[in-house]
Amino acid sequence: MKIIRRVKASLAGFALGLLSLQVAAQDKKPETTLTVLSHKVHEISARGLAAGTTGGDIAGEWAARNNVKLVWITADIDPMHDRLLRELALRSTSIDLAFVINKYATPRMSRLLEPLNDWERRALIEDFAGIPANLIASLTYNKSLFAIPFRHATTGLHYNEALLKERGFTGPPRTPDEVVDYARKMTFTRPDGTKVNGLTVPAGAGPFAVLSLLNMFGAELMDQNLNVKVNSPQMIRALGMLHTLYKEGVLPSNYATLSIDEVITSVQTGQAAIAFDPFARYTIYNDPKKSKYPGQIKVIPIPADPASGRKVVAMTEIWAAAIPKNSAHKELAWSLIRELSSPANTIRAALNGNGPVRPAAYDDARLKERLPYTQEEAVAIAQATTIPSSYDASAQVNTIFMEESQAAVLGLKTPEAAAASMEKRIVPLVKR
Amino acid sequence: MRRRRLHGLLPRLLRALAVLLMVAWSAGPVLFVVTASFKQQLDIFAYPPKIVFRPTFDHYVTLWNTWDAFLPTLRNSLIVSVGATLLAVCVSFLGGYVYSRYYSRLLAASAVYMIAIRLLPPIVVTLPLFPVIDFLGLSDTYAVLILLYASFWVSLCTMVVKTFVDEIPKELDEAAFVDGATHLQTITKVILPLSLQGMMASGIFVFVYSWNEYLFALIFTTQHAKTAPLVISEVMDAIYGTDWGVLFAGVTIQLVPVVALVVLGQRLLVAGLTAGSVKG
Amino acid sequence: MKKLGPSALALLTPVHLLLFLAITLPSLFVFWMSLNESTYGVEATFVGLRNYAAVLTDPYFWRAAGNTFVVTNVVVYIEILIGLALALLFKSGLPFRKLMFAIVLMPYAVSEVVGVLAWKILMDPAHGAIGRTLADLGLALNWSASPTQGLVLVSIISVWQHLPFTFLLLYAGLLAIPLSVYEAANIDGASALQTFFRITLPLLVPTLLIVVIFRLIFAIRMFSEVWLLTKGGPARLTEVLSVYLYQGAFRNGDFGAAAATGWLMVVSSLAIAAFYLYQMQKRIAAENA
Repeated sequence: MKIIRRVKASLAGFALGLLSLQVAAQDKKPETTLTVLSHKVHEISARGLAAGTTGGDIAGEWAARNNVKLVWITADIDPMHDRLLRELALRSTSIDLAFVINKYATPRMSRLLEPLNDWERRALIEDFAGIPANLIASLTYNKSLFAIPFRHATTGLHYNEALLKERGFTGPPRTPDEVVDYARKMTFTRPDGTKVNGLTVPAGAGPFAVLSLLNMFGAELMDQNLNVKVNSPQMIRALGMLHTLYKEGVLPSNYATLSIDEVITSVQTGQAAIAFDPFARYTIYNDPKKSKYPGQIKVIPIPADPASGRKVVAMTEIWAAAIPKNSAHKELAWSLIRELSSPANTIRAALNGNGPVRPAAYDDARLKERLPYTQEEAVAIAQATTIPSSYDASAQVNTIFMEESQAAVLGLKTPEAAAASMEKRIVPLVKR
Repeated sequence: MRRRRLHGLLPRLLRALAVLLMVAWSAGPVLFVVTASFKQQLDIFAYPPKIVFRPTFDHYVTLWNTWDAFLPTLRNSLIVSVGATLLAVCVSFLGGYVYSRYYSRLLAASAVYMIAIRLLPPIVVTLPLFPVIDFLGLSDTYAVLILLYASFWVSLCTMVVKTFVDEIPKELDEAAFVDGATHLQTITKVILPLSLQGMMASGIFVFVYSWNEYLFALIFTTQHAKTAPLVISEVMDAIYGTDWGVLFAGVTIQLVPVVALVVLGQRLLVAGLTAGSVKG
Repeated sequence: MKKLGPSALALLTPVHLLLFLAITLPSLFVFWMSLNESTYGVEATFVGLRNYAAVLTDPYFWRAAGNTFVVTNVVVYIEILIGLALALLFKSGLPFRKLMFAIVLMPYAVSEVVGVLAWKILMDPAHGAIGRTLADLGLALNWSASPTQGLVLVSIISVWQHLPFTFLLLYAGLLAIPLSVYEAANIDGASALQTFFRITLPLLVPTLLIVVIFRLIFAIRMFSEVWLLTKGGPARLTEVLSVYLYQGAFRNGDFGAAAATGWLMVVSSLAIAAFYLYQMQKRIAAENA
């Protein structure tokens, strides 16, 4: 049969081709390579890969100076950390430098990373004190520093100026009560049937953004000393408020499964008036190619409960550079970390789109010029708290929080029951 | 070749309706994805859905420029998929033949074992596999993916081939033997042509699975053997938000070889039809 | 039937070698892992059946198991009915058959993840072509807030994605039935319905068995349809076993629990597929009596 003959021939040809390709693929050059594992955003920040940014190729220049070949492996947040953890468990790994996000930086992971106190003593990071102490503290367990902060993502309140103006508001809400009031008034249906939700938050993606919303009402999961504060009157009031807003249609009906992408889309299409999201989304919200309201989505720090004595609240996630304990090029990795952490390069990375961890960077004129929200972000990060992950069961606790808070907002449980249940289930996990 | 005809207007109307439904159901979401790859992002999420729109190639250009790893990884995907398919189909053909033509209690039990062993979720199997693959130095090679993908499909492919070879009368084997054919010749010249439908169906499954597979590729490859689905999954970004146009452009490109395979495979299926008419 | 000789064993070796090295050995190791407590970079400590006890006393496991059981059965049987109908439709002759064939296989050609995401966009109540239309018509499918409706959408998506698999196997099985059989039936004056039930269906049983068994296996493992749509929410009410395993074990880095859940899934899969596996065994034995 002709077809069989053809199949046989292609089989033979393929086998030959595969053999030769296999040989080619294994061709490795005998250079010193430094392999970095991170999210794409770090590669972009460190190498200036995004069009129109002016920071330059910080990592590339370092590599050229040190005669090193840089290999950069990227993946999205969860797959990247899954990969990292597997590599860390091996006897020796090809990964020399990894960027970890604080929610995964548990004590368990930190034990697989190289302690950095000695490295820091031997080869100082320029102006180490310029990195906020609380960030360094959150990356130090048992007096051992295991990662150097590189990037922060802090939540702010994004609002659609045009929509606000449409409904008669001249400026953004300035108190939590105003936020609720504005959100209610910004929930309406247009004549063509398009629904606009006054308030949205990626509640299906993780606890981070929801907690920043609850934070506005003075509620928190736990304080920085791991004292669980979840069963508080503020939390009950906040959950009750969200439930009411959900029932009224102010929060979208698919609140419980809202992903980061869906929130972005709803803001871009003008179907959400106020969103709680990291400051850095500003660029995406105002992208003329993707947004119906380019230049009209503004961001301010989240207003705090006046009774708390603070003016703004913010939650932040930190990305930090770490060296695997089983890496083969620790000296080179540390050298690159030092390079990326210098004050000058922090500004360059920020110009490339990074969220700089040095408050001093926000004073730089070039940065102020590039991003209209730098001042707001600087204010926010000064007050920002992280979700502590200095205990091993933090992922479980996050899941419990998501589950109970969703139940409360959707009305499957009363806020009191949800808060009490959260406390009962979380406390034993934290104090292990 | 006779076709069974359905007379009467009602059956014909019902059939037309069924066909229409089938096309809308199967092609609808895929059409959404393909057309979206040519739409500006705002048009993708516009409601009512924009049927008439100004097409753009921006996303494909961005895919080419920003995600320059896509094309090389497509090549890797092709190598791995073809390799896995050939390995799985060949190996399972031989196995399926034996399961069909031979019998022993042990053999029958091993057939059940072949199926039972597939019940463990692959993600759990990666836990011990990762350090072992690393230890063997197979990490980030085509070989590891080819071997894993093929292994995960041989159970089904073998059973499918067995079912098809069962249909081939044993008299054909004996006739060939009497004519002086060796065992191998019987297998390749008599059994093989008549099992083409089953092998083709199996081949499609293995190829499509390998082509789109993500979990093993993520865990076992980094650079040299990185496959296209990994690049596409990076477009689904939790920090920048997904660039939907680029995502759909990548997916559309990935669709092309599969469509080609299916069209080609259809010919093998039909070719098997004429061979089938030879059956007793 | 011939008895196994050395040449037959040689032909069998490649298949079983692949299976053994890539799946069986790791699976046995996973079983050992299920009797230990371990995580990334931490040496395993033997804990006996404690992981199994922990999982089996976890109400979330039972809810996931219940959801999985319901969705699996719904999906598999509906899909087989539709797949069979489609296969018969194709066999009876269609215009543009090559094009139609390619269209029917389209959902399988799109990767799982993209398929689910496309459906998620289409079913979005705010701007999805299907979701918003339904909402405007008052028939909103509130798949995000209602677990039942969420699982309904999960089932729809699962059938959409895997129907080509079922169809392809059933179609190939249909095509392999010799025409002479139909000719004989025609000569004997059998009606279309009689031919189908007395001749086609019985001859399709071997293929049907394979399809059911493997489709059950894939369905029990369903992950992306749930994870990407609802992440098991709201409030973990739409969790299925794979999501429970991923969430509870991988996110928490608890390998013992992951391994135990995995093996419990094997047991439940065996339970669900037992009837069909037994039928298969019986057939093989009968063929060789």
